[in-house]
Amino acid sequence: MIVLKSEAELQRMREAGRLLADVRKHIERLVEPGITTGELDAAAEEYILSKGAIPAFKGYRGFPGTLCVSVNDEVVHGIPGRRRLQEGDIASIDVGILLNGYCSDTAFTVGVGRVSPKADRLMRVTREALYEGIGFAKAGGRLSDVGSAIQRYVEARGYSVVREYVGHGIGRRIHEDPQVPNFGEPGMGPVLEAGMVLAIEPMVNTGGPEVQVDEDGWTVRTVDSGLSAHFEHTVAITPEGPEVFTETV
Amino acid sequence: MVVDVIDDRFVAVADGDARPLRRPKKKNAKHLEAYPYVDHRLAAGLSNGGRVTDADVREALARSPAMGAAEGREVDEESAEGRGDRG
Repeated sequence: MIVLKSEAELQRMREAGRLLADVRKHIERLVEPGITTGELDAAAEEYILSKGAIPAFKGYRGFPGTLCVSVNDEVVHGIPGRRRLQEGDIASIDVGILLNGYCSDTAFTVGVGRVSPKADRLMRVTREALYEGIGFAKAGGRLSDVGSAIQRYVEARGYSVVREYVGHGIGRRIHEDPQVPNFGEPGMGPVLEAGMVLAIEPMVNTGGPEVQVDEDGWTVRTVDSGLSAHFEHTVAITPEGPEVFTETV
Repeated sequence: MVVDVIDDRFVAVADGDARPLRRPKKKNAKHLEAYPYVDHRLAAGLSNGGRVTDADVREALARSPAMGAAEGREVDEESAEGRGDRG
């Protein structure tokens, strides 16, 4: 069941989104060769708590981190720990918070030091694909228009989109209805309405779309060891068009 | 896992074990939590005329990651109440 948000609720979510954009900027600045994913996680948690918010992933179904940090061929849900980021790695960082009863969720992939042109292009295309999808998050459209636009954009550039993991509605809970796939035919699924808030999050691979889960039960990586990138924003559907809550202004 | 949609409010859930496919539990969709994970192999089987066995459901649950392990699992009523229903 898709929960429509009132204007007062949207305002709370806007605030949660704005804070999360600051968190994102704060973490992004810390990424450099030599830092461990656990150190990034600790810094993120400290920052979030200092602003009166709560990390939304920590403890979620037992997930141990504030951040998911997924490196190179890892797609999503990498557990932060002792891994040291190295020059040329790409790190996908996913973070969610709860502020005054409402959630926001964002993700970005960042290069560690200098990265290969191949990695650079993957990150750029994934970010552009997210905005391509956001452009279709319009009242009166259909849910699958979003994923369809993302898939078209990505595949036209020689990459693939992950199918098993999808975006989601967001509000008082970090994961609400509907599921928001990054693929499919346009014109399907629920009609989009003002008051819906979606976390749109393409996961894009240089190789095939197939993924598998590590023995830790969390880390998702590409089957063919190709690189993967992930960008996500929390987006409200408004009468004036999509409003991105987690963007830095 | 959700194995059928009964109407606007109710779905059928099964785990292939205590809740086999021939005796799924009817649940109010409001009391379930959607996860951002989809098992496409099972979904394809279900939409192709129900050629899915309890073993398939158990396997799908076993291969689902921690994030998706509770796909379609009921949430406690208290947190479901807090979810609000303004939709």
